[in-house]
Parts: sequence; structure tokens; C-alpha cells
Amino acid sequence: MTSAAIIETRDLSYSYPGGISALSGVNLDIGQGEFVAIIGSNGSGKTTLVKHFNGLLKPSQGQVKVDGLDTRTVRVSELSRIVGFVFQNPDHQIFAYSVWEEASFGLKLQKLDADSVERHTSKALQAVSLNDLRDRHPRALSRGQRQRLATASILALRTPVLVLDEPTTGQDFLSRRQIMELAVDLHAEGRTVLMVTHDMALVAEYATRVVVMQDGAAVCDASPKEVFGRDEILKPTGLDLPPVAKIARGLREYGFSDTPLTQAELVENLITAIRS
Amino acid sequence: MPTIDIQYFKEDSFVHRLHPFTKVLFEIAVLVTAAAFNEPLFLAVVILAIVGVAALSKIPARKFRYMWVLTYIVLFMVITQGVWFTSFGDFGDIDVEFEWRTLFHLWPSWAPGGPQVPVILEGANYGFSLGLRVVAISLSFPILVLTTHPSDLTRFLSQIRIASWRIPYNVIFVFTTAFRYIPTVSREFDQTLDAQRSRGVHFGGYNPIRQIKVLATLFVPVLTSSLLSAHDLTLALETRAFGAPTERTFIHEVHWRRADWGVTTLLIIIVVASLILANRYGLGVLPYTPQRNI
Repeated sequence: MTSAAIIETRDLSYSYPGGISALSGVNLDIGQGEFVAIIGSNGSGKTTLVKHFNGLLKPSQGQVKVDGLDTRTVRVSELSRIVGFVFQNPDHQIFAYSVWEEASFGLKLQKLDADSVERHTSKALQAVSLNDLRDRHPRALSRGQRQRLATASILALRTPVLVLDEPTTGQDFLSRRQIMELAVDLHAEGRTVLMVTHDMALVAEYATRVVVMQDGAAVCDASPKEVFGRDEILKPTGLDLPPVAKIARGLREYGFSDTPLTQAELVENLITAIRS
Repeated sequence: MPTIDIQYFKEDSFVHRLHPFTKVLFEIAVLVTAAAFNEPLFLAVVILAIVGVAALSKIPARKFRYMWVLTYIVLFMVITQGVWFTSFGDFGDIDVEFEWRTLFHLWPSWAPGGPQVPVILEGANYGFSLGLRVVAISLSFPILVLTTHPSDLTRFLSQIRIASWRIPYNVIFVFTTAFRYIPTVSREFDQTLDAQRSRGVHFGGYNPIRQIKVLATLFVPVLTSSLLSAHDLTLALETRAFGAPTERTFIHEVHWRRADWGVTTLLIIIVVASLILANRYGLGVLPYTPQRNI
């Protein structure tokens, strides 16, 4: 499904004012239609990296191109038509007095006609199961619902790239599933999904590619199987294996060499191993 | 990195070692001298002195970067005073031969019915001095906060006593918490700014009505989260027995040193000298200062 790169970084380095280096020499090509998980410990540069993808941060050195546009010369408001960015804390963006107003705000900024605004907003709200609450005040929603509302307001923009910065933090199991299923659906529609997360189980289950960040550098860029199969990659980053991979690791000394990523895969492999 | 980054900046400098009271006195001295003069050149000297103190305290210049917004204030003052200055009417014993000099007309001569709305040089100059006062006060204020540890400030305020009266600790707490929350709110502001820009809000541009509209997208989330975090703070305080009727003690004490005597004396001399120069000899005061009869 992958084709030409929609996001390219070349020797991307970034230092915060005051000289704190947050990224150094990151080279990435993210193809259209990929589902990329960006993982790493706190302070490893994950969020700093993705903030370059819609121009919120401009490289100190090197270059970032989004759909061929150099982010240094294009406004964030223009890049927002290509890259949708869902923040970790929905309360940083919610300002409107109704769910519908909030979700449709970005579309109105794009000066779409009323029909299109209504259509796209309803579709986005349906996708996050909030369409029934469209007249509700956002503050009357639960935290999980607000997170979904913030996601809907970005979804409504129908951007080809979607960045989710720790979308499932503080969510219960059900909301987590819902958000991830939404991401999977969007990916299936052909959109590029980039997800910053600490949740290794989600990475194992959904991502097609994993970028491991450590001290501002992309130390590994591989498939989930490869990342979770090799000890030397995750160990120095202080990240843990997904539970399924952990079980498989425990079974290694009994001749079980595979790295399953989902429960179903683990069960299937185990049964095959036992039968043979 | 927050836009308005004024929280205690750890450094070992002469200014950092001064007693909080000395630094408060410095703020007062800036207020008085900035109010005493209105000649731009004199105010420039005051500003230079403040920059000198900032350099002495080893605060990096980037901490003052947000001050560029003051340019707008100065510009606003220059233009409004330039246009409306002469309508003050009473300029005291101004020279009889004194004439207002027109810089240019806002409505130029080549326009129909022009020239109209003159911008007066003296008014613009007066406006410039008002702007510089704002600059001086805005520059000096962060020095106190950047160089004084919040707990030192709290300790200092709790030391103030007049006879048996002391500032109630609740009041001190409100005061120091307000300082402590400036960077937090500033960070909230930045994150909100990022979130709104990410969904296509463009801050800036020339349409004032649109600007007011987009500002709501900034202020509503910041105010809401500030109120919510204030509420959380009160709960956190209650659980830690805030307001329990006991005598407070402080781990860290602040001491008055010899340098504080020196600086305090110097500040008093400067303030008194400025007041005498300005009020008695009219030095550093524009000859066309509007008279206020209060």
C-alpha cells in the first residue's frame, strides 16, 4: 500500500531555545498509507519530531518536507490541510459551546459551504460515536469523550496524514479500542497514520512500522516483529515488550522462536508448535 | 518553551544574592524614576540601567524576548498622542511663542478634503516617553521574579510586621502562587496556540474582527484550564492541611547583608536625586507636559 513518501526528513536536528538539543540527524521517509508508531521513553524526542510534521516546529538544521513542501516556508495553517494533528490533551483545543460547533470549526475556517460542513462534521462525529451528543456542551463530556471530540474535529478536516500524539493516554479500555479502531479504519481508507505512544500492545497490534526514538535520534526503524523480536533494540530505551511478545520471550528456552504480535497469533503459533 | 518565561532562574549572581526587600525597592525605584521623567533621553538612561542590572544578574537575553510586543504599545502611544496631544489644553506656563510642529497628516494633502488629522511632533515625542515608561516598568518587573526564589519571596513577605500585625499567610500564599503560575499558564497558552494552529487557525493578519474571533479559540481553553487547575490546587491544599492553626516555620531563611545596605542607600539616593532634578529643576521633563489638576 505504501507509495511515494509524503513526509521526508533529512538530517533533521532541533534545539530548543537555550540550546537544549532535542533531535539530532533524523532521516525518515514516511510513505503514503503507512501506519507508523513512534515509540521511546519520556523526553526521547517523539513529540518534538512529530511537531515538525505540521510545521509547529521548524528544523534548526536539515529539512522536513511534507507532500513536497518545505515546512520552513509554509504556514502551519496551510500544512494543517495535509497533516491533521490530534494532541494528547483535548482541553487545549476545545473552546466552542457545543460538540457540533467544536467539530465543525476547522471546516468553517476552510470556508466550505454549509452542506459540506454539515456532511463532513456529522461523518466525523459518527466515527467517534458522538453524533448523538452534537448539541451537548463539550465541558459536559467525559475526558474520554472530549478526547474523541478533539479527534473528530481533526478527522473532519479529512487530511491525508493524521498524527496522533498519545491518543489513548488516560482512556479506559473501551475508549482506547474505539480510538484505535478509528485509526485502523482511517488507515484502511488509505490515510497515513502516525501515532506517538507508550502503549506497546497497541503498537504490536496495529502498526505496520515502528520508529524507536532515543536521545533525539531515530535508533531503529523497522517492522513491529523485528523491533519486539530483538532485545538489543528496546533494552537501552527502557521500554517494555508487549505482553504477548513477553510470553513468547519466556517460551524461547522451550524452542519457541517466533515473535507474535497479537493474542490470536500467539495462540495459533503455540498450537502449531504443540501439535508438531 | 513558554512564550512568557518568567520563573526563578537559578544562577549565582550579585543580584540573586540580594535580599528580596532590596529587589522590591529596586522595582519601586524604577517606578518612581520612570514617573519622574518624561524626556525620552532620561527614560532611555533608566532603561539602560535596568538592562545593566539584568546583565549583572546573568539572566539570558532570551528570557526577555517576548518584550518585543512592547513595540506595539510604544507605537500605539506615539500615534495616539501625536494625534490627540494638543487637545489636553492645559500645558502650564508654556512659552508664548511656542508652536506645535506638524510631522505629517494622517489624511494626506492629495486626498480629497486633505490635509486633515495632523500628527504633532511634540505629541508623538510625549507618546514615545509614555511608551518608554511602560518599557522600563515591564523590563524591571521580571528581574525580581527571575532572581528571587519563590520561597525567599514568601519568607520575606512573612517577615514584614507592623507592631504585632503581619501579612496573613493566606494572602502571601495567593501572591506567591500567582507568580508560580505565570509559567504554567504561559505553557498552557503555548500548547493551546499549537493545537489551534494545527487545525488551521491563523493568528495574525490584518482583519481585526477575525482576530478577535480567533483569539477566543486561545483564551477560552486557557481560562477554562486555569480555573480547573485552581480548583484542583484548592483540593490539594486542603488535603495537606492548609490553614491549620499553627505557627509556620521555614527551612530556608533570608538574610540582610552588607551589600543590601549599599544597594538600598544607592537606590534611595538615585530616587531622591531624580525627584529633585525633575520637580525642582525641571530636568528630564518636557516643557510641554500636560498639567493635571488632581
